[in-house]
Amino acid sequence: MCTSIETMRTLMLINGVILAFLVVTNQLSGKNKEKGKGVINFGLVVFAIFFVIVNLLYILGKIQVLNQVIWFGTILTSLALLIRLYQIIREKRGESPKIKDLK
Amino acid sequence: MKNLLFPISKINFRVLLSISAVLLIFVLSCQKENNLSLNKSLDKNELKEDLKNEFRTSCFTEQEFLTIAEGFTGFFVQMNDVSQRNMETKLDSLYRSISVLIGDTISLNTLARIYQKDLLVDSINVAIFLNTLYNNRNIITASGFSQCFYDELVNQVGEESFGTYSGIESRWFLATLAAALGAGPCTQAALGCLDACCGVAGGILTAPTGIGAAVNWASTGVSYGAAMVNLHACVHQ
Repeated sequence: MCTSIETMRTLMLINGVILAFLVVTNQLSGKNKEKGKGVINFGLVVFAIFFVIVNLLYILGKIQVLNQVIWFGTILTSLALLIRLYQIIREKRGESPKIKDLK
Repeated sequence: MKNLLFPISKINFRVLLSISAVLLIFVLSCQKENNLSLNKSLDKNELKEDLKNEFRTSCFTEQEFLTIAEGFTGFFVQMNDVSQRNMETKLDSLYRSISVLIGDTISLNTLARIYQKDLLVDSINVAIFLNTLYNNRNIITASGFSQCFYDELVNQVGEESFGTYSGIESRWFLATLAAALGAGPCTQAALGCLDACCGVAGGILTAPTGIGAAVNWASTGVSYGAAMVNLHACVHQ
């Protein structure tokens, strides 16, 4: 019998493996380095906000709320990964708008 | 040399962590397979109040050894009784029940129900066994306990009492118990923090854009959040 925490951990593990695949095959990184630098700062700011919220919840002992936040984050990551995989599949099939434009 | 090292330096630490997770699952699966050879029971009369041979180990005292061994014996005798269900089925269902709980803080009541249901051990023997574990948890969860305990048990009752029940198998069983008793969350908290650091480093080094950035940073945040939940479980276990 799987508990909800166990389901979340399984999802996180699957996400980690797919993310690792994307990083290894260099399909996560953007080609535009300048744009990428801007996103780094944005990502760091978002993470810093999340870092503060998580620490605050931990200090206040709101573990149930923290669990819900993690659930939300896990679902968000899963959705983003699915979208990215969908984009990659479309690019491979040559259905991507960018590739069509190049042709 | 630089060319040789370059591909290695490009590998994200998250990848290494994922590979480690897969390897861990593989190792645990292999150990489960090894456990299937466990088919011989300990005789309850093998352990007397006085030890047959000279006490060798320095990991615990003679009295502690006797207390733990006596608490374990009834449990192991019933566990190894294959008249109703064979050992393969018992260990398989135990493995499935325990594997979904590894890393969580679980109550001794849950553990007792699992042992009764999967190993067909009656509630009294399970209670004695778990009470022994709980009362001696400081000794049992110390590093090297399982090896010391196994060696001393072999010293006292002989290797043949275990049949094919080898040292590695007993170590896995006790290690699983130690994990179920709370060794999990602390390790997971440390790994979660490391994963979050790798996520930040990966985000800076690979500079993902668009949906890739959302994946990377959301995943990093989730890793850190999960680490804090595990830390909470670790602190309050």
